[in-house]
Formats: sequence, C-alpha cells, structure tokens
Amino acid sequence: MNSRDLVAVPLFAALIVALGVMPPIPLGFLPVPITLQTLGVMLAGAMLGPWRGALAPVLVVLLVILGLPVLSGGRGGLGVLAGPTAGFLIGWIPGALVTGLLARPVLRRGGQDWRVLLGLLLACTLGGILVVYALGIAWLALVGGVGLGAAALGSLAFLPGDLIKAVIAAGATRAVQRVYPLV
Amino acid sequence: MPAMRIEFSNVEVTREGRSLLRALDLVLEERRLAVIGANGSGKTTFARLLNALVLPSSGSLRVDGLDTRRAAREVRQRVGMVFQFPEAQIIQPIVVEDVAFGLELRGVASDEARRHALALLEQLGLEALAERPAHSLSGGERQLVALAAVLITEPELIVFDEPTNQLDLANRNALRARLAALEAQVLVVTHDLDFVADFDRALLLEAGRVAFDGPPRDAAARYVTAVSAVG
Amino acid sequence: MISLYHPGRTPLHRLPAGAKLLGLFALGIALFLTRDALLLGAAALAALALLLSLRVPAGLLLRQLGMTLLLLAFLVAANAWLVAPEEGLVVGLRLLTLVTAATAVTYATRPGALIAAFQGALSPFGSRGRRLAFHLGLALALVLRFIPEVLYRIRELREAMAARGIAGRPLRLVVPLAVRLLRSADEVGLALEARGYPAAEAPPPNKTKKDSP
Repeated sequence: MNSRDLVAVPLFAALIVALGVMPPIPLGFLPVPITLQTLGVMLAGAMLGPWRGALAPVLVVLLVILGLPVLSGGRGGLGVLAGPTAGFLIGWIPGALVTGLLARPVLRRGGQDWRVLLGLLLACTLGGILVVYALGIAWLALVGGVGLGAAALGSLAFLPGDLIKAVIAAGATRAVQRVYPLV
Repeated sequence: MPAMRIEFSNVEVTREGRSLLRALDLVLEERRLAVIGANGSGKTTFARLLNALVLPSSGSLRVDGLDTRRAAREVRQRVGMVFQFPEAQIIQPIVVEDVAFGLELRGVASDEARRHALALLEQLGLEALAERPAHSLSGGERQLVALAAVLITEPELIVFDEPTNQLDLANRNALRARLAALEAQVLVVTHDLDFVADFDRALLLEAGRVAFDGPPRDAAARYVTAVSAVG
Repeated sequence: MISLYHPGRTPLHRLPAGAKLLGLFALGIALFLTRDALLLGAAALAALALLLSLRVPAGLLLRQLGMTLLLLAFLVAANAWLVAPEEGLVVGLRLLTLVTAATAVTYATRPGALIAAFQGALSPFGSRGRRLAFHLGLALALVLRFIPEVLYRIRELREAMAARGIAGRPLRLVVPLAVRLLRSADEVGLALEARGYPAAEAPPPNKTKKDSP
C-alpha cells in the first residue's frame, strides 16, 4: 500500500463518520429521516475501488469497537455490534467491496454518459443496498427470531432513502471521474 | 553546522507533457537560500525536488552527494520539509503525537519519541500546545507545529514552501525570527520578497527557468520589474 | 472526537481489555445456547447491575440505548405475536443482556487499551504483525485527525453554496467534497513520504498510550 492509499482510506472513513454527524435529512414523503452514512460507504467503494473501499468501513467498525460515537446520532461502542441491527453496520464492508468490484470495470470502460451512470447506479444499488440489506436482514432475523420476511418488511422503510443515495453516489462518482483519475 | 552541497545537473521536470522546470544547472551551498517567483513559476516543484518527492525527469540532483533518484530515504533523512499548507502535513490528531511521529517512523519507541517531542516543544516555547487537538490550532500555530515536527528529526536542510502565505504580520515576523535562529541550512520558497531580504543567495524562477541568481535585493528588484511589466 | 469511555475504578474498569472482549464473545455464545427464561432473566439483571455500577449519567445511557431498546420492544412484541409469548421473552432477554454487557464494556474500557489489545494480538506474527499493528494505529489516528477536517470542509462548501444562492443540491456538495478529499489524500500522502514513510522498520507498538483517540 503506498502512502496515498494509506491516507485515502482513513479519509473516506472520516467521510463516512462526518456524514453521520450531519443532522439526518427529513424527507417529506418518508416515514424515517435518512442519514448519509451509507452514501459514504457507496462513495468509498466506487471511488477507491473494492479493496481500499472496503477498508474504509473496516476502520469505522474498528472505531465503533473502540467506543467512539462515530455512528449517526452519536452512537458507537460494542453495544451496537451486539444489537439486532449490527448486520447493517458489518454489511458496509462487503457492501463497499461489491460496489467497488462492480464500479471498477464500468469506470475503466468509460463510454457514453448514460451507460456509465447506469453501471455505477447498478454497482451502488447492488453493493450499497442489496449486500448491506442482505447481511442486515439475515442478522436481524437470526438474533431477533422474527423470520426473514418480517425482518425484510421492517427494513423496507429505509429503501427509498437508500435509493436516492445510490443515485447521488453514482452521479458524484461520474462527475468526479472527469476531474480526478479514479481506479 | 556547515551547509550541505546541493548539485543540480541539467535537471528538467516535465509532467503530463508540460515542462515545469528546465535546464537547471546549479550548485547551492549557502546556509540561507531563497527561491522566489510568481505563481506557476515552478517554485513548489523546486522545493519538492530537494526532498525527493519529485524526481528529475532528466538530469540528476545530488544532495550531500546522494542522488535523489537512488537514495530517496537517505535524502529525506537529511532534508526536512515544511509544506505550504501545514494542515496537510500534520498526520496525528494530537500535537505532541504528531511531533513524535517523525521519530516513530525512524524506529524510535513511542514512549521515547513522546519524551523527545515534549522536550522539543518546550524548547520552542510551544509546550502549551502539546496536548491540543491538531485541528484546533490557528494558522500560525500550525506552521510552528509543522516546523517542530520537522526539527525533531534534526535535518541538515529545512525547506519551507511559501511559509508566510497563511500568516498575519505578527506571525510572519515571529517565524522570521525563529528561522534566523535555526542552526540548520534553510531554503525558503516564497514570493514574499522582504521575508528573505537578508538571505545569502536568491534564485528567481520564471516559467521554470532560473532568470536571476544572486543577492536577494537584486533578485527582488528584477522580480518586481518583471511583474510590473506583465501586470 | 471524544470516546464514550467513562472513567472510573470499578472492577470492570480494571480488567484487561482483551479479557473483556473475550468475555463478551463467550457471553454472546452462551446466551444462544440456553432458552431458560429464568437463567436469561438472571443474566439480564446481572448485566444491568454491571452497567449501572459504572455510574454513567442516565441521559448518556438513554442516548446510546434508546433506539436499541425501542427496537427490542418491537422485536419482543413481534415474536410474541408471530411465534409465542415465551419466544418473545427469550429473544428480548438475550439481546438485552448482550447489549447491556457490551455497552458496559465500552463505558469501562479506554480506547487506547483496546488498540493496545489489538496490537498485542498481532505481536505473535513477527515483523508482519508489527507492520500491521503500526499501520492499524496510524490509520485509526488518521481517521480521527480527518473527521474534524471533513466536517470543516462540508461546512465551508455549504457556506460557499449558500453565498452563491445554490442550496439543497446534494450533488453540488458531494462532488467538490470528494475531489477535495482525494486531492488532500495526495497532499497528505506526500507529506507522509517527506516525513520518512514508509518506516525503515515498523516501530514497536505503543505500550502506554494514555490520551487519544
């Protein structure tokens, strides 16, 4: 790992934390206010690539373990990891990884704007939403004993907000790629 | 402390097809060196060459006899660098930890590095800053912490890139006094002509070339003429 | 950023950090091996007593645990409704015990002690372990160093946008923010090299780190 990578990973971990410090954005048509932390996860995967991208949420999880209030609402500590929603947090790691794996070939191939955007949107949705939800829901069903269906149903409220984040992450990655070489 | 010999032989630096520095043939061995020039004249590239952060695209640069291309690590042990934006340079969250960090990178155990760092901060009159979070420092304080973090490894040459850019007048004058008191060889890259007025030698860079080489006052006169001719 | 650690001199405070982590792990497994409501109830009470013995202000506890407790209540109700009331009790007590005990460990353990425990766990792996331990410490320090800076950049960009009358367009914020972060990664990376990174040999791990993070 060169020195630039060594810095970029903690920088994006700090971005994930900072996006959680910002007050949650209430969206009129949503029952739950959305926090932007998963946007940071998608950006890390798409902009840093799969491996460096996955290390950013690893650092965030480590800070949670250390007892730092790095999650939205000032939460942190081992209690979060012992709780029923721990899967959504741990899911950030494979989430960023998958986002990066899918985004990298899209960014490398380039081509028409809408194609790249669509590819990135797919990467952010599959990595940043599908993978994260899969782990989160599986964990919730396992320790909460409510079954996959009920756990999935309960998570649906967050889906619209997360889709908006995927759109933002895809658009931002495309725009950044024009001025700064990614992957 | 005697000054190191810095030898440029036909150094060119190009990046992405653009020529940043051309045909530098110089021997520098003065204790106080100034490099002046307008924005985009190649000053920062010049500064980074000395620390092996930028390598010559052609030609060679020897610092104390060491080729920067082959012996980057050894060169960096001799040459410390205070960056234009000291916030980029401060790595650790707490001041004393950051000052100690340079020693830790050289294999000193952290307890010992910390002791040295505290002693140095005290010697510089900065002990009040030791436990402060780096992000809470003012611009002037940052510059001083960055300097302390460089001094801890006792480099023979300290390169300052635009040190007065973000300082108010009081801080600028304080830095100037500190600089004068440094034992190490000093090279300052700046467009603050007055700051380097009493230096031993000045190079004026224009579009990547040395347009003047001599006493700072004359370089300053030439620089002012050139700028007013353009402006 | 200030950790959740709450200073004190209780027995839990004095246990080695590694032992506390292993203990929690063992507790987690044990809790899922039993379905005895009485046993689980006793464990939950013990964990609550442990947490309360740390004398953390109630407001702080509520802020940390409020959401989780709400979700727990919901899970208990869902289980009671969908499966059986006993199932709700078992699931609720289990999670309550685990979350409470884990929160207690967090409040009673300095972050520095946990980092040292991680780094210590890497020490049997020779020079590779030392290198990894060094980089782990450096990376965590860098995150803490960057959090205030990223927040500052966000505020700065928001103000710049407001000053020009562009508000509420997330892309306008995220793009320049990301570009700045990537550029400053380059800058800080250069500064790291200027200061002698990569280290000739990874320094020994920190033994008496007292303050940050």
